[in-house]
Amino acid sequence: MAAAARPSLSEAPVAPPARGRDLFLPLALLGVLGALVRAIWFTPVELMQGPAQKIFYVHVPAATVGLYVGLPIVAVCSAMYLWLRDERLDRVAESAAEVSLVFLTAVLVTGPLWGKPVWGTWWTWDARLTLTLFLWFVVLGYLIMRGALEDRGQRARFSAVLGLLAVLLVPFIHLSVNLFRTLHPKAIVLKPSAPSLPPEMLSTLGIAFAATVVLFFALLRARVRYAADRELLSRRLEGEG
Amino acid sequence: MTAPAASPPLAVPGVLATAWLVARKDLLIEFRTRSAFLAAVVFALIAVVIFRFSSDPTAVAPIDLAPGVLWVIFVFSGLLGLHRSFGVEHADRAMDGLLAAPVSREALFLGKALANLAFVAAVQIVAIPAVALFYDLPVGGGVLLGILLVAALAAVGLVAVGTLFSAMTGNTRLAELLLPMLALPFFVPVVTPAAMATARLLAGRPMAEMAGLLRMLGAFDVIFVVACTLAFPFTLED
Amino acid sequence: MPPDNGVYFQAAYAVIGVLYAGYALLLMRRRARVRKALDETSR
Repeated sequence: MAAAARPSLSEAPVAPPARGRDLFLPLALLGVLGALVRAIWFTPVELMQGPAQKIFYVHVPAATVGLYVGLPIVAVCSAMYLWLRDERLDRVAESAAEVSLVFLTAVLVTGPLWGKPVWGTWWTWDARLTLTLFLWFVVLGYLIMRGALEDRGQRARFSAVLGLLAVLLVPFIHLSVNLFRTLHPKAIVLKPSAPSLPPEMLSTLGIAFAATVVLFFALLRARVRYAADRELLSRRLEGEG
Repeated sequence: MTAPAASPPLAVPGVLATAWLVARKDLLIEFRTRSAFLAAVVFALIAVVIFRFSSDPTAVAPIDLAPGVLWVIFVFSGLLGLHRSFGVEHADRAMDGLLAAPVSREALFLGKALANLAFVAAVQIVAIPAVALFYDLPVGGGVLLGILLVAALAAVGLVAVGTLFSAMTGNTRLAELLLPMLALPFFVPVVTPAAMATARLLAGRPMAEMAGLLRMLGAFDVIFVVACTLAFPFTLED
Repeated sequence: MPPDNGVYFQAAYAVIGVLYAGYALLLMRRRARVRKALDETSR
């Protein structure tokens, strides 16, 4: 941003990379704040579910971004790492896993807060809840394993293997949790027929979606930059020692 | 091993034969010390008893408790053996010797997995009768055979995943905590159908009701044995 | 009349705010710390 020529992350640059203030992340946070403000004061209250329905505007985008954007990035970067052996891919996988964990945590906290007033229970062993919970465990295990491995190459390879095996696990967890009954609401936006939400609610959801996606990439970018700097630091310290 | 000294790697045995040699080495170590096996069996027996005391006997019938107990015990006693599998190799850097041997990585993995399978099977052979005895299970007719079939199908999948994760966690600081943490989520799709099938067997339901569950176990076995065997070499190279 | 369950959604929004902003701040602080160490080693 500030410096004219940013050195490539893969080789250790002599001077530390650009120092300019990173505005993307604060702006993305403001975007989410704006979406929340709109949801709180400028969106009608749903008659059947009451104000608790507004949890939907944070829950659904967080779930979609975490499950369908974050985790696929981890899986794709894992596969590409084993193929190309580029450390940047490993850093993106690590970063996407951590950011996804934040979003999945948001899902797992807001879900019960909606479930208690609307379903009458904090938790139910419903297929989608259980699947999300298990993915949360897998991502947490992935990050803890990374923390326990010292060797850089070994950490990257093991993580990539775990990331890929997790992809194979998803359909099986899906099958096993479906052995229990499901009561989760089905998708109501991407139905083949017209969406069944009133227009104000739909536009609030759309704004919340956009803000959450932007926040995801802002966090991912910040996390990848941190990982790159940390890598540079540890290389320098090793070089001295 | 008693490989003839005058046989350079020109006659590298087939993958399965090599795998058997690796498995035999591990089983020999285990047979001579018997430490892990005894620990796992004692753990299983204690767990069988403790689980019975964890619920009110007048409220929960033993037959309702038994499938869950059986599978929790299998999983945790299996983890005890799996943890050792690569732990022994990392202890004295014996792994380097194994890797230097003219043995393909896939064969090495299959051998390790085979030894672990034998370990898990041996523990199950003690644990199943113990549960049947202490929980007064109706194991007549084909029920015991059915449970053994389910146990065999489940064990293959558990061992494939567990052996790979044992290789990955074996030389970390947190190995004994990290292995269950990584492996247990992967065990869910094995334990769920296995425990359900066990419950239906004990309830005397017809075999046809279990076909879907057995297929699911079989699919897990095939996919994860192949995937873990292919993934194992990636965990080794430098 | 819709049911009166606003407290749940207030709690959920508070959690979301703390989680997202807290993680963002954590990332900024972690990076600032590494940057500082980098500056020190480059001297």
